[in-house]
This record gives sequence, structure tokens and C-alpha cells, in this order.
Amino acid sequence: MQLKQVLKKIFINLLIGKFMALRNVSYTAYSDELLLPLIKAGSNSAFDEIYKRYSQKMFSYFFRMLWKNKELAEDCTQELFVKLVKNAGMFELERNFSTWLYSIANNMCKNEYRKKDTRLNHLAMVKNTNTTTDAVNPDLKRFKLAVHSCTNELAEEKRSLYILRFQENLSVPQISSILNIPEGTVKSRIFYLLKEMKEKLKEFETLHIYP
Amino acid sequence: MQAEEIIHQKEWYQLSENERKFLTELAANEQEYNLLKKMLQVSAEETSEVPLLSEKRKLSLDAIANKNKFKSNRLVWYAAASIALIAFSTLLVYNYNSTTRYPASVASRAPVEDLPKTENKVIEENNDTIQTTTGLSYIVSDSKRRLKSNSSGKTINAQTALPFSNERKYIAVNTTINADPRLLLLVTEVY
Repeated sequence: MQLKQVLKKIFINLLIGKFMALRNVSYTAYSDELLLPLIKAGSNSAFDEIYKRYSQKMFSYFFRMLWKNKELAEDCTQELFVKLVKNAGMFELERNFSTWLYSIANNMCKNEYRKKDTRLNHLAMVKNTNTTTDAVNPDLKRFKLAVHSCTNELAEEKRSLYILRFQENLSVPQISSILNIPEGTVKSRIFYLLKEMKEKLKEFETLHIYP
Repeated sequence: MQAEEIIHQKEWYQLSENERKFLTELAANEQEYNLLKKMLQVSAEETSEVPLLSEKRKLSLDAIANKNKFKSNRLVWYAAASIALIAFSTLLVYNYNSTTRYPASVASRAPVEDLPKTENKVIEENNDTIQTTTGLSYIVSDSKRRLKSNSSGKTINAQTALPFSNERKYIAVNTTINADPRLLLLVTEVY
């Protein structure tokens, strides 16, 4: 029965997709999930709409995940959208599009971490890291650098958890879906991650870094 | 509410007793609490440091998409052309076989006379008589019957052995003239 319903949904979506792809209409009012069948059917306008919604967001995620390497982040963003066009049909209708996209991006980052040359570049970059900060307070400037350095030194999984929760501001259920781990595990990992960060930044406790 | 949500939303003095207990392991005093709060603030601010994605990337993505579209269109056209070619060549081969296999029977344009069934003994006695929808009756000749026989000497059904109606007509008329003395006389008189 469930399979029948899913097949029906897919069929309807494909029909809508084929029909709408022939027309050049604005898709700003469409949900992400509705745009996917259109992309699959070859609609450029639907793809442009999705690109407009997610390109900067995904680039930002890659940029932070891949040691602020702009070229690498741009390459990954481009590859992600190519994958999106090719695998639009593989999207599960029950899933949230945004978390699906983040999970693909997360897997791509894992692949990048595995690459030997990328790892070597990363090590060199971490050594030469110098974040652009306009902080007037020298303690605050040092603190920002320390936070940045701590984030870079985090293990891969903790790093993605940190970025998804504190920089992308995603909810625990969303992170759970992206990283494919239970919600309880996400909560406890966040708790221990905060604890670890606090220990690393302990020296700033007494400094005047607060406004 | 999660620990990070409490830290993000509230100041130390705004915390309830339960919240302070919940956060004891993470931030035992105001200093630790403020440190975490500042860390979360700095992390969130990092978002503004991200540069904008180059517009060239969108152009190259469009180029890739168009290339793929052209490829898929080209494949569809190739498939359609090959199907049309196969259909056309099948038709040609079939026509060639049907016209060149029995050229003699096709060449015969002699008018076929409607013969009375009851008066023709040859037709009545012969088991190989072929009844058509037009009311004409034909007989397969002896020579042709021999051709139809396979190696074991068993006679094959006339319809399956001689599938072309022109040939059957030719054979039937020819045999009927030879067998019927009245027709033979008529033909002799004419010549």
C-alpha cells in the first residue's frame, strides 16, 4: 500500500515536471521538493531557482568545512549542483531537501578529507591561518583567532557537528538526518563539544573580551 | 531546551535554578558561562567572513547542463534514426523476397475463368482442391505435388507449400485445361 502511494506520488510529480518544464515560469513560490521533478525533467528555470536558494549557503558550508579554501569550496559547490541535476530522481519524497543536500555536501567533505594532497594542504594552511578580523580589542582579536584555530583542530565529525549547529544554525533533528546519527547522540555530542571548546579556551576566562 | 540554546538566549543572572543545575558540568560559574556565550557569538559571526561565490561557477554549470542536454538529445535522435532505418530495411528485404522468389507466377496476367464446380470431376475427386473466398476452385498439379513432397514421401498441405495465390491460380487453370476434355477442345479450336 505504501509502495503504491509512493509510486503514485512519483508518477504525479513526473507528470507535473514534464508539463511545467515545457513552460518558462517563475518558480519562486515553489517548494524545494516540488522543484526537483522539474529539474529532473530538464527545466533550467527550476534549476536556477534552486541554485539561487542554496548556492551561497552550500558554498559557505564548504568554505568553512574545507579550511577556508575558496577554490576548493567553489569546486565542491559546482560538483554538488552537478550531482543534484544527475541524481534529482534519487531524492526520497519523505526527506527534507535541505538536509538531503547537506548530507551530500557532508559526504563530499569526507571524501576531501581522505585525499592525501588535500590533507597536506590543510596542514600548511592551518599553520599560516590568519583570519581577517576588525576587532579593536586585542584580547578579542586573540580570542577570535583562538576560536578559529580550535575549530580547525577539531576532528572531522566534531567539526561538521560544530559548523552545522553553531554556524549553519541547523536544528538537532536536521543534524541527526544529515549525519545519520540518532538525535540523542547529536545532543550529547554537542554538549561534550562545548565542554572541549571551553577547556581549550580557558585562558580567556579572565580577559576582557566581553562588550 | 538545549544547553547551547540557553547560553545563546539568556544571561547568567537570568538563569533559573534548574537551568544552572543543568549547565553545572558545562559552566559552573559566570566566567565560564560568559566564555561559552562569547565563543558561540564569535562562531556565528564567522558566517559574515565567507566570500561570495563566483558568478563564473554558475556560467560553467549552465554550460555543463547544456552539454548534457545536447548529449541526451543527440542520443534520442540516434535511437529514432536507427529504429527508422531498421524498419525501412526490413520492409525492403521483405518486398524483395516476395517479388523475386516466384517471378513466373507473378508475371502471369492471364484472366482466370470461373469454372462450374459440379461439372468438373477432376476438382471434385482431387483432395488437393483449394477453395478460395471468391468461389474459384484450384487444383495443385502432379508435378507441383511432387515438389511439395518431402524426403519421406509424405505430402505437405497445399496451402502451406504454395502460399502465393498467383502461383496456385496458374497451376489450377493449367491442370484444369489438360484434364477437362471440353476445355481442351475449346483451346485447340481457338489455336
